[in-house]
Amino acid sequence: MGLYIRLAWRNLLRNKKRSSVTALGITLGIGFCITTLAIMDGLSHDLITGTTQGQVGHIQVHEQDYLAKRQLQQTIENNSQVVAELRELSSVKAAAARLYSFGYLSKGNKSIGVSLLGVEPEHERQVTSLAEQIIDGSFLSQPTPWPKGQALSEEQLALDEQLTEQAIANAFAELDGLDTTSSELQSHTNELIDTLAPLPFSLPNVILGVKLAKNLQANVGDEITLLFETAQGAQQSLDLQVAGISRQGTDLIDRTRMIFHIQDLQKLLQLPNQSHEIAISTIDLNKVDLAQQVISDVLAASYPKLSVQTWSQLRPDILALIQSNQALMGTLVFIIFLIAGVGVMNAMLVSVMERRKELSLLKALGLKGPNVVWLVTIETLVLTFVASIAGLVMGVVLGSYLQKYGWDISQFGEFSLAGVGMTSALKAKLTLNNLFIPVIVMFVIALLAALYPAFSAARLLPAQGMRAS
Amino acid sequence: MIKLNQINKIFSDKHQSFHCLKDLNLEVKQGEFTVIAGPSGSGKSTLLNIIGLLDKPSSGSYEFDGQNVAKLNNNQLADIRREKIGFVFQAYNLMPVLTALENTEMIMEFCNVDKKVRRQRAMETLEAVGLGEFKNRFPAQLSGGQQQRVAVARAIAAQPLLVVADEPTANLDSHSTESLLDLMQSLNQELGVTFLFSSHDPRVIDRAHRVVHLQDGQIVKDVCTNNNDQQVAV
Repeated sequence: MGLYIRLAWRNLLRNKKRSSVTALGITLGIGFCITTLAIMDGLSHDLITGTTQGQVGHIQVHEQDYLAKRQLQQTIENNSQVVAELRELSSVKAAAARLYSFGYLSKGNKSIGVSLLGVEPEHERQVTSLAEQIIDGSFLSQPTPWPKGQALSEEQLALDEQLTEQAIANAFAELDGLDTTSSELQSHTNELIDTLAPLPFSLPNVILGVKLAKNLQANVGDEITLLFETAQGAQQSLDLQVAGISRQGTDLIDRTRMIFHIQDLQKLLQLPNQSHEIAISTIDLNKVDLAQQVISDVLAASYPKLSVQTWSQLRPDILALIQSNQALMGTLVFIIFLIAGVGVMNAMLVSVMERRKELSLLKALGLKGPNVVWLVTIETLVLTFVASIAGLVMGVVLGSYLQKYGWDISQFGEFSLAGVGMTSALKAKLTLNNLFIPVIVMFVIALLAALYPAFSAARLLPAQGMRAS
Repeated sequence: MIKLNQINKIFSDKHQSFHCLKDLNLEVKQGEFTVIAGPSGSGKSTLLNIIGLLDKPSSGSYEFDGQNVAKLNNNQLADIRREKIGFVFQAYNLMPVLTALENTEMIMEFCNVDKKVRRQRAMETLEAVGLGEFKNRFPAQLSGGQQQRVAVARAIAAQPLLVVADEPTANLDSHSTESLLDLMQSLNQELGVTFLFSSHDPRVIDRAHRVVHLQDGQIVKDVCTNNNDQQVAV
């Protein structure tokens, strides 16, 4: 073996220029492949993190048909009890309930349709990075103090019945073209509503998406008015106060989302102790399927109408995006290696052709065909080994830089993939796989590339080779 | 040691064929110092290639060291070459990337001889050919004569039964030729190594114990000289 390696090494040094160019091809191939794979892994990591920490969480619980229909009434009942049971599971790190609806938001003469999201601020912080997205003002903390509604007295119930009949009569009269305007009817109705569902003691705080705030020309501390519909179908309006402005990074969300404390939204929508969604953060994202199974088993007994999904089931588009990116990068890496492999084969073939005399001499002196194959192969392996070390160093340096500082893509504007807001710097993620897979693949390709020159050398007949010299 | 019987060698391609050796019979005994002489194109190198197992005859039988080698495959022939035959070529044919010492011990390394043993034997052989002080020089740093001495050292270091030398003095000046022939002759006498040359160099022929004259692929004269106290036989 010692002689083979010595011969291989010295033969490579004989034609430094050719060996250097071939080695450079391998070095650049491995270096760029490591960097590309690291960026790819960084992107996948950012996508998964952006998805899970951005809003989805690792696992979500819903009423079984909610995801298909998303109706206001499809809630998780006994929300506080369900959440409390989930928080006790060992695989669950945190659980936060959410409530969704839609409304119409106005300030001054500007009005915009908005999506309403009610969250549990203290728990949401542990599940997603919603609180970290605040760019002005502050995130929500306590729910707004709200007086309790009272049941109507018999007298009020009679008045309610009377007002209902009068409203029906007015409606028919309106159809006949008569003027039925009655301020008395409205004021009595409002009095009854105030008794049943009184207004809060102070204005509820909300968080606006950055583009929503800009379009509405609303700043922190401003009052805004929301028109919304309760779960019972009654249309109501309520004044609110802007507590903060958030930037999630996705255009649609920053343009339409308004965040409430869940208890405020429950009051508004008249959905006490109900939620549409419970987002869960698990102890280990890599064991999310196991956690899903545990949660499903726990909920199945007491809450058969609830369903449990992982982030990848909720966002299959993200998973598909990651997989297609990986396939694309795999193809790119393969092409890079193929080019490097052709370079290696070319170099070795020329080297063998130039050394026909020496190789046939070795055969004349008693080296067998397989030994000659081995000799040429070792030469290729030595070249690949040296170039791989340089490629590893290059990949580690480039990858580490991109892991630490990222690749600034802010000049291309805001960047989101499949609705997931990405950071302005693409960050690489170096792993052992990223480092060694390119090297191993390169060795395999170099070996394959060496086979043809090696077998050409092995086929040399000693006498013919000597004669040709 | 060498017994050739009715050896024919025909080189052919699509368009033509050339009958290089014709029904050739030859026997060489252990310890001979024999020259195969003849003009260019007479088949000397081809005969030497067949004797040295570098090439196979088209027909006929060849017995080397008691073994019929005509039908052996390439790997089996390589084994015999490595272990029993040393080669000296006209163009020296040393490995340019190995030093004189490494070239000398190369075949022993192929034979997996222990490092210590082969290093010592290679060094002794280099000393014997007068190149001990040049052991770390690469072939390009040696003269033609010195390179050919290294080639001889390489050929004999592994202690073969036979040394085949194809026109070994063709590229040497007369001083180097004499010195090389002295060396080979002394090795033949002291170690009993059989030497088989191809040459038309009179200086080589003069030193031979036996001269086999070849012409148009046939032996036309086989002469034992009185060198080394032997009698003229034919």
